[in-house]
Amino acid sequence: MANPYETLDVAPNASQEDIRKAYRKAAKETHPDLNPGKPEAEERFKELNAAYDIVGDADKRKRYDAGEIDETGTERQPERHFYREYADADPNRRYGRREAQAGQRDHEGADFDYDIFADLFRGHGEGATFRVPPRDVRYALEINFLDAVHGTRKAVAMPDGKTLDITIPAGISDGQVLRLKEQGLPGSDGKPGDAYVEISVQPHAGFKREGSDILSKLPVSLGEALNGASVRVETVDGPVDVKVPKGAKEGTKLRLRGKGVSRGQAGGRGDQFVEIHIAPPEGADEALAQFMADWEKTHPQNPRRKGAA
Amino acid sequence: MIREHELIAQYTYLEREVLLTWIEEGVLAPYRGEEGYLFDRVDESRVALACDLHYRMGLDHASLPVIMSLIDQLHDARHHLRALARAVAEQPEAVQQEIIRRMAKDRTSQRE
Repeated sequence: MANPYETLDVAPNASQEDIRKAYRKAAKETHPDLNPGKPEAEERFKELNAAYDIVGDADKRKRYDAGEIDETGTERQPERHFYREYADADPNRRYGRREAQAGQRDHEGADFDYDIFADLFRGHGEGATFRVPPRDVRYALEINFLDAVHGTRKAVAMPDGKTLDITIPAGISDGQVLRLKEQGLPGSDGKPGDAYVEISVQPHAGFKREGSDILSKLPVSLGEALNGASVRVETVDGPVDVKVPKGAKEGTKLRLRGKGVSRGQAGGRGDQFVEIHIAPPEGADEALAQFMADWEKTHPQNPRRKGAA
Repeated sequence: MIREHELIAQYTYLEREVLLTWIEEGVLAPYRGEEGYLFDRVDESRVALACDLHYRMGLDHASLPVIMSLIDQLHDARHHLRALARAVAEQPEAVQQEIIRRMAKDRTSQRE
């Protein structure tokens, strides 16, 4: 990296004020967000910032001049993301293009988003008045796994002092967005925008969700797997007794009909799939070891063989 | 997404009151969660831009929302221009040529 004084194009004995002026002048010309069409601006701006970080600060400058720190400073500059990389990336379009109201349609029935063209084609913008459009507000709400499965009501106090009554439908999934009509902030005509609530669902220790089905694991002992057993299994509706079939294998999936998640408009609920995991015997002793050794003499088995279960 | 105090920890010179003013003025529109504001990468990059303009480049409080709004409009205009360019590129060759000819004519007439 170059000498910071050269980068800023100032003399090594320039005053702090001169350095600040030089930085501001150069930053104006090269800030990537003020020059979205000039890709080379970013590199130059980063160099300027690195240089200004050192000599723009009287203390650091002294240490640089004394050779205590090099031109990169002592700390690394963190990865910097400029807004222009995101200007078009926000799926919710919170910034800019606010003038396009949802549902506003042109004469052909298509969503008419391109107000800039609407203005141009309509004539010459005569009689246009400035208005503050209703503002949509976005909330993020975290709910627990079981509330997402069964649905719930939530009264939630938000940082702007408002309380929102939110009805969460059964079967809502992570990342889903609820629209609350006219719960946003008002525009100049007094009509409020909408509130959008993005739901994130906390993971559950025992259940996993796959579409409208629930997956869970069921540890069984070797004896239960060999002889079959009736065991208690947790479902989202509480515990039920389930029959483990005789000779159940590792990874066998038992289906509990209707113990899944609401399918919404399609009606009904999905299923729960319980995957069997055979736990090795606890406290295996000499007798068991001897028994297994004898048993394997007459039942040779190589589970590493291709195609073995 | 990160919380307000995490954001302020990242931009040590950013004052909380200034951040709240920016939110109030619509310079920033972070998500709202049960325990306060939540900032995603889009918001973070905007905070970085606003901090550059205010703390480093000396833009005052009254000017900042104006400049940010102009920058937003600039990005909108670029977005619309790209859409227009795509639409033009889908037209028959003759129509594209006619549009280019017409634009060149407009430029010359402005110079006169």
